[in-house]
Amino acid sequence: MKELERTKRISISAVLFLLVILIGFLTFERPKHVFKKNTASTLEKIIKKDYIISISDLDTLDPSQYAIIDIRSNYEYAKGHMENAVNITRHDIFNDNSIKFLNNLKANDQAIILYGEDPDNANTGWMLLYQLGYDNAKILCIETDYVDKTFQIKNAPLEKPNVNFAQVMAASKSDKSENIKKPKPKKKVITAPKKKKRVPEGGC
Amino acid sequence: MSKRYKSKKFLVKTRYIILATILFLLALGLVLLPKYQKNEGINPELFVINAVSTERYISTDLLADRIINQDPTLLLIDTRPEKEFNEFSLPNAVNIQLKDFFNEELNSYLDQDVYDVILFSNDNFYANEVWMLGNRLGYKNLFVLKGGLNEWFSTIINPKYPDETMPREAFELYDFRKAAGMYFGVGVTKTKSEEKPKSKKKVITAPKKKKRVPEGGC
Repeated sequence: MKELERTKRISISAVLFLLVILIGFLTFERPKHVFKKNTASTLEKIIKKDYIISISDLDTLDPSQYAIIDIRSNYEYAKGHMENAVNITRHDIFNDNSIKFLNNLKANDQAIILYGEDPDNANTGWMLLYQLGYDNAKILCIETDYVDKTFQIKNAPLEKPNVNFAQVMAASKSDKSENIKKPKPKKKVITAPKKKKRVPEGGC
Repeated sequence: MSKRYKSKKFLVKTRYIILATILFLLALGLVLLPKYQKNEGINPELFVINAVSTERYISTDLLADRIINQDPTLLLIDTRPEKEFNEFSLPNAVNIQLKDFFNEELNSYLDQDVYDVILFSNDNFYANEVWMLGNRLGYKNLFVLKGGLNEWFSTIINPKYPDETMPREAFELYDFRKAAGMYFGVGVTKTKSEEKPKSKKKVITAPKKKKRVPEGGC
């Protein structure tokens, strides 16, 4: 009888244990957004740099093969934007509508072309999309500006030094050293007034 | 024996086997469960918040000030190609290109919490890429030099003289930048200025005494 009670207790505790695990499974909340690419594969892609396109590259593409996404703020977008561009800020990427739109583009094998104030800005959006698994994302290498009430874009130089740093440093040293060279002051010639020969004072 | 009794007997006999099977299946489930937790680094939402924030940027003026004051917690990382690094870089900078990110020896410079790591390149692009990978992996104390070396040259090395109408602070900033530029070598020649001209031996010539004209005596 005692043994029977013991086995009963074991069964009850095992069932309770199972219940706890079951509740854990049911209440487990799966994260909505997960990085699908790890940093090693992202790094490989970054080194290739094949995801950066210029305006001339864009002109060669068929408009049905891509969608342009403006990642600037809604306010900037309202002032002016590229033709047919859709505004999805970096925070809005996680919206259900945006995810649906991006998934659609991926399913249709269309490229996602991002642009922002500068390529740097677009790059943060690209990094996010690529790591989320949107490997059809690209960066449009442009700078945008709003001048004289018109939206303007121009090709942006990427990591291009404005000057040759080594040369500028060398020049700044030599230029200054030449300026510093002061003309040698002429030796002052002080001519001592000739002493007049004293007339020997008269003696007696 | 009724059918019900038979099945009850079977359950009693095999209950441990059934429980063990269920537990085993659940254990298998637990193996699959951490798939989401294995997500390398921080979650995407936090990644965006950090990436959009401008907190990672450090200005050229602040960096110059810290270098001049010999801040021991400062670690400069040049993310440009080796050739450009060899031609010119900031004082005591270490060259870590993007391809060397997972190099064990060099990665230890990035993944630490002792130094303030300042990443820089010609502008922000390469430095930001390294920063974003570090951000994903949760590296601490990573900063980016705002505007990179282009900004460094236009502010510290070759500052623009402020307009007459600009506030006093602009002139003070200009003075600081000029002084900082001199610290970083503008207008200082190492070869010429350090070689002091040999001082000529002073020759002291004793003035010849003029023969005194004999004063007239008696």
